[in-house]
Amino acid sequence: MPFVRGGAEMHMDNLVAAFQEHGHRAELVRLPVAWERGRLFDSPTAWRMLPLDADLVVATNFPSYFARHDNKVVWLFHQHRGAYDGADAAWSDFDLGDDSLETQRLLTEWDNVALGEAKRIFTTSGVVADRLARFNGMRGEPLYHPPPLHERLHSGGFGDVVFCPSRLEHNKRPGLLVDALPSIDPSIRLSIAGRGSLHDELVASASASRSADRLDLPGFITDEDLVERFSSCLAVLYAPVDEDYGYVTLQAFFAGKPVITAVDSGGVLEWVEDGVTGLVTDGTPAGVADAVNRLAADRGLAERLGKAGREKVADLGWGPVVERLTAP
Amino acid sequence: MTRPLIGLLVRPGVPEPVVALLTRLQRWADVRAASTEGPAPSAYVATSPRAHGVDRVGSRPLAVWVDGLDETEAALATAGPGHLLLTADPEVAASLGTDTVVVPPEDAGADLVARSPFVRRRWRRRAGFPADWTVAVGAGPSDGLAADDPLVPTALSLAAAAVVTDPAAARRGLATGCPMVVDPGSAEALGIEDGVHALVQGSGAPGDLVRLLVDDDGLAASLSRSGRVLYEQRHDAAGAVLRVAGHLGVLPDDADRPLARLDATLDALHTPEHARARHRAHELLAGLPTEATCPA
Repeated sequence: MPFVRGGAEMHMDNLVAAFQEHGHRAELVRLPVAWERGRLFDSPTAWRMLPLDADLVVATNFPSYFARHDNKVVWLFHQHRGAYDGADAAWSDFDLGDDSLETQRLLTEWDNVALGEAKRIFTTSGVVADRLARFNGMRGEPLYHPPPLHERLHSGGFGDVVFCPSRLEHNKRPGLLVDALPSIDPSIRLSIAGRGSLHDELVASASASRSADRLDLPGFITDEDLVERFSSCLAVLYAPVDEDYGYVTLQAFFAGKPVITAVDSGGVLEWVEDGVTGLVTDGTPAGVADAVNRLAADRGLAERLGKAGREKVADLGWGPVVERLTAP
Repeated sequence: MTRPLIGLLVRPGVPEPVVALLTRLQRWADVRAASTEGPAPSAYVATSPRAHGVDRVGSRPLAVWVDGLDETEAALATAGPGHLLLTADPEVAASLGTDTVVVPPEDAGADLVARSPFVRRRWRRRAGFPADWTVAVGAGPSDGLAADDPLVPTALSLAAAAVVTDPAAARRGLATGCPMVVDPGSAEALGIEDGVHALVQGSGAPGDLVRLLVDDDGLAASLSRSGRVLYEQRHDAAGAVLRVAGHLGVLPDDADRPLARLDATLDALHTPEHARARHRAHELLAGLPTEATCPA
C-alpha cells in the first residue's frame, strides 16, 4: 500500500528482487486500500478490474488477491484480519451490528471466490494457513522465506542487553519486558528499537518502577545498527499477540541468538521451541523475567539455544521460494 | 442503447420454469413472441423442441427447453450448432448430454445467501443463541423441523451444523453454506459427496457427525464452501440463467460498457443487488461518460 512501509512491504520488495535475481522480469503492483468498513470493497473492486498482462501473477495480502488472471498464484500474507480473527478487538471496526455482520458475510464470500480462483495457495506461515482453513475452508501450504538482512546477520558475543526490535504498539506487547524489568537481574539492560504510540507510556512505566536507567528506546535504527545489536545481545525478546510470521524471530536465529516469546505469539512458535531454540513463557512479566534471568545466569545455555536456532534457518533462501511460486 | 430482443417460440402449455427463466432474462433483453413483423430477434428461446418455428431460426443463438424424457428425442434431432438445451430435470439432462444446462426450480434456494461457519457463529452470538446450536430438518419423528416449515431457511442460515433428511431442505442448506449431515437419499438427489460437500449418514451416528462439524472449524468451513459451490454449479437458478443469457448473447458487451463489466464482476463475486459495495461502485462511475445504466 502506498505511504505504508512495514514487514509486508519489505517482503514484497524482496520477492521482486528475488524473481529478478533468478532471471525473471518482475514488477510490483501496488494500490491504495481503505480499511474501514464503509470503503472496504473499493480496493478489491479496483483490483478486480485491473488489466494485468503477465505470464504469472503472484498475489499476496488483502486485497491484492482480487486480481484476476488465468495463472494466479497466491502467497498469502494475511487477509483483512479486522474482519476475521480481529473482529471485536479494539483496533477493529467489526462488531455485532447489522452492517458489520453483513460486511463480514460478503467479505468472506468475496475472499472465497477470489482465493478459490488461485492455481495454488501458499501462506507465509502455518498460522496463516490455519486461519485460512478455519475461516474459509481452504488449504494453504506454508512457504517460508528468509528475513531482510539475513545475509548480513552474524553471531557475536552474548552481552548484557536483551534486544527487542519492534513497533511500539499494543499488538507487539513491548510493555511486557518493561514490566518485567524490575524482576530481572540488575546487570541486564533492555533495548527496544522502534517507534510507535506506546513510547511515552513505556518511559513512564520504567520510571515508575525505577528501571528507566536500564531501558534504552533508540527509536528507528539503521540496518547497520540493527545487525550490530542482534550480534551483541544476550537474547531477543519477541512476544507479539498471534503474529503471522515475524521477521524478528528469524533475524535472531540468523544472528545465533535465542528468542524469548509467549505461548500466544502465533507464528513465532513455529520456530521457537521451548528449551531448544529459545524459551516460551506464559506471557506474564514474571515469566519473561524468569526466562531472561535464566539466560543471564547461564550464557552457555543462551549460546546453545542460539546455535540451534541458526541451524534451523540454515536452509531458508529465496531460491526455493521462487522455484515453488513459478512451478508449472 | 437498444436492448437485445429475444424471440419466443411457443408450444401450448408453457412449463412454469420457462416462465421464470424468461422473467429473469428480461433483466438484459426484451422478450417477444417471434413474428415475421417488426425487428428481427438476435436470439431465440423455444419452450419445447416441437415449438413452432424451431427449424427456421437459422444460425441465430437458440435455447430449447426440454420438459421431459418424452421430448429428448425431438430435442436431440433439433440440436445444432448454436443451440443450447435446457431442462429442470437432472434425469433429462443426463440423457441429453453434458452441455445441457439444468435450470432448477426457482424456489430451490433463491435469495438465500451463503454464511460461513464463522459468520454464523457471530450471528448466533448477536441473536443470543448457544454457540453450538444445531438443528435437525426432515420428515422423520426425531427431526426438529418439518422440511416445509417456514423457519427452515432461517434455521439453516444460523445453525452451527444441521442434520437434514429431506432433499429440498438439503438444497437450501447448500445454498446457505450450512455444514450438514445428510441422508443418503438427499446426497444422491443433489450430487453431494461425503466429506466434500457434507457428511453423509452411514459413516457414523448422526449425533456424532454433527458434533464433529461443531468441533472442527476447518471441516465445517470446508464443507460450507464446497457445498455452496455445488449449489451454484448445479442447483442455482440465477447462475443457470446467467449461462443461458451468455449463450444467447444478451449480456452487456464487455468492450463497450465499463459499468456492465463492473456489474458482471460483482455478480461473479455473488454481490447482492442492494449491497453497499455495488452502490459504491456505481457511484464511483456515475459521473463518467458511459452508455451503461444502473440497474434498478
